[in-house]
Order: sequence, then C-alpha cells, then structure tokens
Amino acid sequence: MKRIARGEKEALGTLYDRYGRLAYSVAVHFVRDPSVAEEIVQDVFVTIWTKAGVYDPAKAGVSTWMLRITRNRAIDQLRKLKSRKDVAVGSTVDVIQSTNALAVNGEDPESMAFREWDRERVVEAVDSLPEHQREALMLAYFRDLTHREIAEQLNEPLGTVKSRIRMGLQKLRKILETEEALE
Amino acid sequence: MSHLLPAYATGGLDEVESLHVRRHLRTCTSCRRLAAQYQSAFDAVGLMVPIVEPPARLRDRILSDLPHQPPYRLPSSIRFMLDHPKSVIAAGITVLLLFTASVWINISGLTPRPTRLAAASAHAVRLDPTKISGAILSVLNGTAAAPRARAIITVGSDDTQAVLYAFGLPKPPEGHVYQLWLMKGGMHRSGGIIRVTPEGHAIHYIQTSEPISEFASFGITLEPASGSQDPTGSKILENETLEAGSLQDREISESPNMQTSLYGIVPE
Repeated sequence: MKRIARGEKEALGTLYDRYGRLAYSVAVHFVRDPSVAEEIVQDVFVTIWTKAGVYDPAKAGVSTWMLRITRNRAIDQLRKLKSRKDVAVGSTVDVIQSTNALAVNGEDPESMAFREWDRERVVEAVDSLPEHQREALMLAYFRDLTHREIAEQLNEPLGTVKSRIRMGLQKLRKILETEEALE
Repeated sequence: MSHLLPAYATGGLDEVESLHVRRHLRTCTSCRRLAAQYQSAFDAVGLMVPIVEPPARLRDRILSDLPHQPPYRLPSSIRFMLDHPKSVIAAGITVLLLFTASVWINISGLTPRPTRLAAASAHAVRLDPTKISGAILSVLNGTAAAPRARAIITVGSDDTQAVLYAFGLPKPPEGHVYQLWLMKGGMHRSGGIIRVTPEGHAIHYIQTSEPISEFASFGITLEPASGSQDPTGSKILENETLEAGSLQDREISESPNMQTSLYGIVPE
C-alpha cells in the first residue's frame, strides 16, 4: 500500500493480481451484470489508488478494506439501477466447492495459500454458525436488506433476526479477530 | 454500547441510533476497536462469494485509466511536523506564549466576527450519483418553526459531493424559499435553494471543492424567492455534525477554494 501511495502503478497491478478476482466476484454476485461488475472493479481500484495514502492497517486488513469498498460500490449500482436482483444465498457447500476451483494463473503459491487460508477460515467460521444465524448474516451482507426486511422475508420477529445477526457476527469476530492482514 | 456494535456494522441501526453510536465511538477507544473488528468480520463474509474469473482486459483497463494526478500525499508541512516533533512542540509553546501575551495586552478585537464568503455561483453541474455512498454526515432537526421537519446529509465517496434528504418541510410562504447553509470557522456558505415537493420532501445535491465533512454545521433557513447572500430568515432545520474521521473512504483535499455548485432535484 505504501508503494501505491507513492504512485507506483506496478504495485497497484500486484494488488489487482491478488484481489481483483475476489472484487470482481463480489461485484458480479451483487449486480449480476459482467459489464457493470467491470466498472465497479475499476472504480474500486481507482479508489484504492487515490486513497492508499490514508489507508490505516490498524482499522482493517487490505482484503477486508477492499471488500468493503467493493460492496459499497456494488450496492450503489444496485440502487442506481433501481432493482434488487435475486441473489441466491446458496449453500455453504457450493461456495466451498467454487472456492476450491479457484484459478491460479498469475499467483505466487505463497500468497495463494495464505488467501485460501483466509477464505477457508471464513468459510469454516460461517459454516460453524447455526443455520439461522448464517442465513441472517448472509442476507444482511449479500442482499443489502435492513434487519426489518430480513425479518419480513424470513417471516420471523425483528428481535429474533437482530439476535441472530448479532450472535452470528459476535462468533465470527471472535474467530477472525487475530487474523493478520496480508499486507 | 457494545451490544449495538454488531448491528452498527451490518447497517441495522436507524439514523438516531447510528448517530448515538458514532458520537460514542469518537471518545471510546475500546469500542472503536471493537467496532472495527465487527466491521472487518462482516466484510469478511464477502469471501464466501463464488469466484468468477474477470475478463483478461480488466487489468490493463484499470492500470491504463488511472487519474493522472498523484495519489494523496501528506502536505509537506505535516510531513515536517511528523519528522521533527520536538521542533514543532518548541515552536508551538513559543506561539502560545506570544498569543497569551497579546491577549493580555489587547483583549478587544480578538472575537472573530462571522464573515460572508464569496457568493456561490449557482449553476448546475453534472454530479455522479454513484459517488454518493450514503454514509450519513449530519442529521438536521426541525426548529419550532418546523417541528416535524427532519433532514440528513449523506456524503459521497470522495467527500466533495453530498445529498441532502429532507422530510416534513412545511410549504414555504408565497415569495419565499428554503436555502441551505454550510458553516465552519464562523463563516457560512450558501448550499443552494432547496425545492420542496407538495408532500414536504426534497432531495438536494451538493458539490464543494473541499471536503464537506470539514464543515462544522449545516442549517436551512427561509429566504426570499431569489435566495440570499447571508442567512436572513427564520431557521427551519439545524444540526450538529458528525466527526469527520468517522466517515468511511474519506479523502483529504488540499484545495483552498470553497466554491459550491448547486443542482437541485425534486423526487417524483
């Protein structure tokens, strides 16, 4: 990030090689439109390029910071398009299988292995949650629904949904709180 | 307070609750750290997404279309301060002593008077709505003149564009309009005339050449139909502003100019 802050394009290219696929996948998952997803990813990396100087590693790892920017941009596009596309929450098993099929072109084995460990750890952590907590948490993330909207969709009391999201996130935080940023 | 942080991270709090949490996070280090952990954990859920290979051209497209200006760097003055803290402290003590002496000698004339900035040029500009991320900068509450009115200002990703959403505004009297004001350092700047629907709603786009988050407060007053150079009418909405550092993706601008351009849109 320091190299990017100094204006080194090659450093941004390296960052793209490491996280570009993930950013694109998140964008596609939200907007379901490859061309729009490309624009989102471009916007994300331009944002990283312009804000690398104020990036604070104490607040978030590079991957989570990038994910946050990507999700925000994707949600902006969704709202701009005035449509809420159905995003299949999917089963955790499908996600794990897709993850294991990750392409390896252009990746050095060490960073690939570490990133797989991150994802695997997150997948394991989410998979360890009770089903209701996992479902509520993923709806909150991937469908940009308010807690009230989630409750309506699940036909559950609002308080129940809030508790599930809170407990799910508390458990996830405990598992991930010692995870080091890749940079 | 810690029991609210998971909901805060997932966007599950309403405006009032979010504002309450943000105020608390300004002063509580432990909660701020905990909030960051919850936010990171929520962000990490994105790693669950099935991986899709992007087009090969995307990498070159990104790297070939970067802004030409260099990315943000600390001003040389701030870099100097970070590199020479002892010199800065000594200079600061000297300045403080001199200031104290001058106050003791001559008290009158030190009270800053509110001054009017150059009038904003009110011309429409093309704003990029995708840059309006929705992070709430400020909440405005109605005064006695409009007790049911309420407004929020959400800031854009680059902190120079924002959107004001207003609700419950009474219809302005004939020959009058609502006007937005941005204030800091004893100075005020017009944020433009706000057009209100018959239902009392308004969406008003704001663009400035410096970070909106640096303005200390915002307000809406009732002014003559052509607008005013200074706030002259009764106050309709007023607020307190969230701490600038609480915003996500905040960019620090070095531009000294304070020119506001206006583009008002009334919702359908």
